[in-house]
Amino acid sequence: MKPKVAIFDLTDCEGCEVQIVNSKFIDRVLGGVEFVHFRLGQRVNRWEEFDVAFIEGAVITSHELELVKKIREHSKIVVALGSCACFGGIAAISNFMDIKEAKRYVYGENADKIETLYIKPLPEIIKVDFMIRGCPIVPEDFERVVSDLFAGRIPREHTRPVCMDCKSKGNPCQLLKNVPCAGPVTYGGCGAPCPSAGMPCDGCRGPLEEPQMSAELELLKKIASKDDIVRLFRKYAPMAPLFKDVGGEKL
Amino acid sequence: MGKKIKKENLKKLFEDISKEYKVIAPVKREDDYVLMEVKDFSQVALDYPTTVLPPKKFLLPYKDTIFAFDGGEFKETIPEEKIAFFGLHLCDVNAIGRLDLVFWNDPYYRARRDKMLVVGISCKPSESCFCKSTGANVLTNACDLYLKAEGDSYVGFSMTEKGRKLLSQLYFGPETVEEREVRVEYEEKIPLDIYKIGKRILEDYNNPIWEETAKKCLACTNCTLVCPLCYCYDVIDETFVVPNEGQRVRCWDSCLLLSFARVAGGHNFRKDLKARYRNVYTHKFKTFVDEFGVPSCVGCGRCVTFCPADIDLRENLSKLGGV
Repeated sequence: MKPKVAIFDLTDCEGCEVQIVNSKFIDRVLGGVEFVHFRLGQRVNRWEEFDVAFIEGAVITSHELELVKKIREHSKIVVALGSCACFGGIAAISNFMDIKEAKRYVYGENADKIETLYIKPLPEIIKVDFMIRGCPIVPEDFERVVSDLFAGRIPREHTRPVCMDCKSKGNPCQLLKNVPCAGPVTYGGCGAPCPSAGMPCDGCRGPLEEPQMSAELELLKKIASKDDIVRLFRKYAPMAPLFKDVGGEKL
Repeated sequence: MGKKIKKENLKKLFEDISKEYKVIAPVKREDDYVLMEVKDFSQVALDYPTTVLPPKKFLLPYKDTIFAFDGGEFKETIPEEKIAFFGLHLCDVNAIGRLDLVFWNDPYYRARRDKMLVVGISCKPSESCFCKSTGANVLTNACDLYLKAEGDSYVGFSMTEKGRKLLSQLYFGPETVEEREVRVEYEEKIPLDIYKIGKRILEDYNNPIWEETAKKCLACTNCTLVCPLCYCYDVIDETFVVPNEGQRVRCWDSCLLLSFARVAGGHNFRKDLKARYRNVYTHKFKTFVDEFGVPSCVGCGRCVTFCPADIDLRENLSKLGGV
């Protein structure tokens, strides 16, 4: 019997789900599993006991809070999909602002009618078995986790910083150009698309295991303002461990 | 014994080589230089300080498939490409020579190396160069043909049969130039007694420089990636969603990573960055010397030039040597 898989999305842009569809092995994924719930990808969905549930997006409403608890109850394995689920994502920037003001700015005079919770990363709400990081995820990471789960292996974590992806391509170093870059402390495996396009790493995949955070911050202070550094770590993985301290201006 | 070639005739040499090989040469990018495939001689930068990545990227690629498997079938992937480097500096040439010491019996390395042509070119040493200290400033037979700039010409020196064949072409002049030994001579910014320092690393194991450097170091691994002699690798099995189809790849690793010395059961032999950083030096200047008689460093200066944290390997070495 094929494993039963669900993909749920909460508050987000659905970009990670699009990356799944972009996978060059999507045919094999479709051939190997039964999608019983995949709102973006198919018309008919149903609730069952899921072997694996992928959850994309941030938990912003109490409805979503109840939903993720329900998914957990019905799933053997839960995978947080993308940086919104793993680390709060872009929406969690609001955690660092006056929430009333932020809502008024976004929703105007109807702001009071809109519910917005303090945004916690999914692993702080329910037990998460694996995380696929990134904004958006790279299809290769999804393929790898699915491959490992199919083969009955525990998905392997990346242990390299983004610099390794970056330098393996021979890119010029952004930090050497005095551009604030989160590459050295960021969880690699993305293939460094941002530095390869001439932009610094924004740390969307959250921190690497035991990164050299204080050395990184010392270096950044020499080339950037405090505001720039705070913004860099508050952008895509604002509630990630370590990054959230910098985002909270503890540097 | 060398033979002269006029600068304008280098194009003919390049084109001759291009007929047989995929030519890799230094090319100017925006603010730096890279080694890449070149089809047209006008792209080649003959005068360049250094390239970001060293020639190892073509000998031991970042991700190298060792074999692929499909159902029950295994297929070994031995590289068949013929590569010619055109315009390597002596440091990089000798780095290939020192990689040979390690990888000569490795079938994937050897397949590339045996089919390879190496054409070196003279250089203008920069502030970060220290090839003299590492003994890599001398022409060796890791180079098939070496082009030494002399006024508006180059003098070609052949070190191998492949080199002699090229040197017999008509665009090299008939007159010969005698030179007992070809070497790069210059004043090093920080001259180092490498062999003495290498011994000091173990004798003075807890020197404060390791702690000091580990505070500054980003563990970004850039120094090991741009190093022409850092060759540590990891081996990873990749399956393509279905478990019976995939490949085994050899992928660059770095001893600066926390995961590098972690073993089954979770124990880590070098948990602190201090220990990992010291390991780079211990291997390059002590244990490699014990094994092969030369350091696994050619003084190309890339680790100095491309370190975002401004760490200078030479300064650390000279502090160790008590200079």
